[in-house]
Amino acid sequence: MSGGGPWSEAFARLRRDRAALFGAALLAAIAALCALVPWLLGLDPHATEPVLRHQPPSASHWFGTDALGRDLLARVLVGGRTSLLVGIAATAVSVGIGTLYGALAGFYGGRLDELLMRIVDFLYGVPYMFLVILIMLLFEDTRRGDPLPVFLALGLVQWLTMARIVRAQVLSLREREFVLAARVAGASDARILWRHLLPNALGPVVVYATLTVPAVILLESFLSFLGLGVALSWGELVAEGVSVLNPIRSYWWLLAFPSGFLAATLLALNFLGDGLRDALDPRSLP
Amino acid sequence: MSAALLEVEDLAVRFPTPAGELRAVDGVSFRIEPGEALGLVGESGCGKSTVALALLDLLPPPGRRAGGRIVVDGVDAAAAGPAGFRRLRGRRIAMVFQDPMTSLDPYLRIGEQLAESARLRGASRREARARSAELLERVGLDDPERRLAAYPHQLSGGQRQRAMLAMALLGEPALLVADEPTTALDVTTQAQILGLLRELQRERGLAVLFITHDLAVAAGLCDRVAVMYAGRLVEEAPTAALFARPTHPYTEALWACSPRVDAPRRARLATIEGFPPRLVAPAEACTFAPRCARVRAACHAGEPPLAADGGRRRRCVAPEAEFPRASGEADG
Repeated sequence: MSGGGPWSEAFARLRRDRAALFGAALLAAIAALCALVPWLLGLDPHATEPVLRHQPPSASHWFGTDALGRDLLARVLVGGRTSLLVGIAATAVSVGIGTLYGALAGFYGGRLDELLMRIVDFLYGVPYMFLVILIMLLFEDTRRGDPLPVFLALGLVQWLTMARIVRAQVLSLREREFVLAARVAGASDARILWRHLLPNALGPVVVYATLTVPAVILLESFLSFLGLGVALSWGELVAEGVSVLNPIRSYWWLLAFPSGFLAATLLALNFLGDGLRDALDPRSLP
Repeated sequence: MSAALLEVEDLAVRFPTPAGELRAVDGVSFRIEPGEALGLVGESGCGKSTVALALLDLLPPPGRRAGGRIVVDGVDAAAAGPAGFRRLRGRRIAMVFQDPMTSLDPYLRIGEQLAESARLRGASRREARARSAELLERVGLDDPERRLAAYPHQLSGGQRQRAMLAMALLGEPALLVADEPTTALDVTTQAQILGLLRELQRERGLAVLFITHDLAVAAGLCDRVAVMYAGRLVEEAPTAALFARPTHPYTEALWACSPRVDAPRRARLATIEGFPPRLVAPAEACTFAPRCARVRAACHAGEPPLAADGGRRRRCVAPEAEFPRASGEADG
């Protein structure tokens, strides 16, 4: 009878979900490629070879080369590191802020809740691109392409829904009898939040976080498209690929490979997120 | 009149609603002596659970205690302050809830929850574990070591309620508040849990505030029974006396509504016509008058007081002699 907790049961359900498994495997493969291959093969995304400009895919440059003769394989894989890192870091920022904010609003309720949630409503009403650009302006001093402001800016616009989800969870959980029982035993607010409410609210948080990662990657790509993103990410590569798109000479590989990787990653994350949502469905919990 | 374990005086609970303040509990007073079991009986929504939550300072917002004194062990809750009362409550009072599905945290092993409860009351880690195993065994769960490692969903409803009882007893409380602890269980399990509760009460000199909608269940467990209607106490008496002769029309009607095995076949189950009043305005008449079989002009003149008469208190203008003795029961 040891083991068999709610988390291990959810994991067992996840393992029976083919789409989720496929998503997890694809994601692991892409992450491993991006992390290991440039390092193993000593690929340099910045080395230029002016003679080899705009080469189509070949045995020596599998993904071809760009306008400066840089190897596209190296650029796609190293760019993938950035995109995945942005996705994870910005999601972590959003989970951190959203969970704390939502938990406080849901737990204390009343006027504090009103105030906190009206702020969220207000921020929802502001176009998020405007917010991102505003936040990034605060980091004027850092050089363009530095990832930290982008992590923060994206995290700071993504936490709103997380806060609402956590608030709703905590709001319904705090009246549960096990919370009352802990209170009668003399548990403090902090203890009840940390030990009882947050673990019980974690399922939806995990699911939403998994779906936030692709959203953030996409947002960063869009920022790159506007020239505001992190240097050398999938978004920037796609932007470059689009910029050389013309009817006379086709450099299709410059667009196809980065967007292929981007699309595959987003797809994998969405499969995984859907699978997690089913596995952690509160209705399937005891 | 000094050794009461719990004294509640003129307790009032209000819930603000758009239609006005809901007077969920109004002027409720009672006392529980050490080792005594008091049943608090009434239909859904009469405020009996709210009384329990108010006692333990667990009212869900925006509900609030609008008045009254709660004295535990001679210490006034208001005077002790929130932190002082929390300590007092943790040491002297424990609570068992209605739904064993939601009264244990699904993400924690039984052992972890019991240990938390014990450690909050000052036990060491080792003590907590030993006492948990011992109490699980006492409440009738076999193989306590294995149960300690189990998650709540791996236990049946009855087993969970037993585990809840063990958790409540860990702090060696003087008073156990049991809010419909058997309502969610099937009848056989219900009887077992009630039996266990009775044993524990005798063996530990535990006082119990037993909240239920089932008069028969209260009769089997409690020394005294208090009947609530629409947020007020309407009658309170020693159990035997109350059942020998209910002297409030509501108690009488409630008793008539209890299903009996010895009723004639095909007999319709009695019901009380009408609905409980909405509790927004203060009462200008007896709150039960619109549904009462013994209603008279005096009932509309004002709310009758809860008059004490010997060991009995009742809130009714009809003279006691008007109520027949319950058939087939010995004199109270």
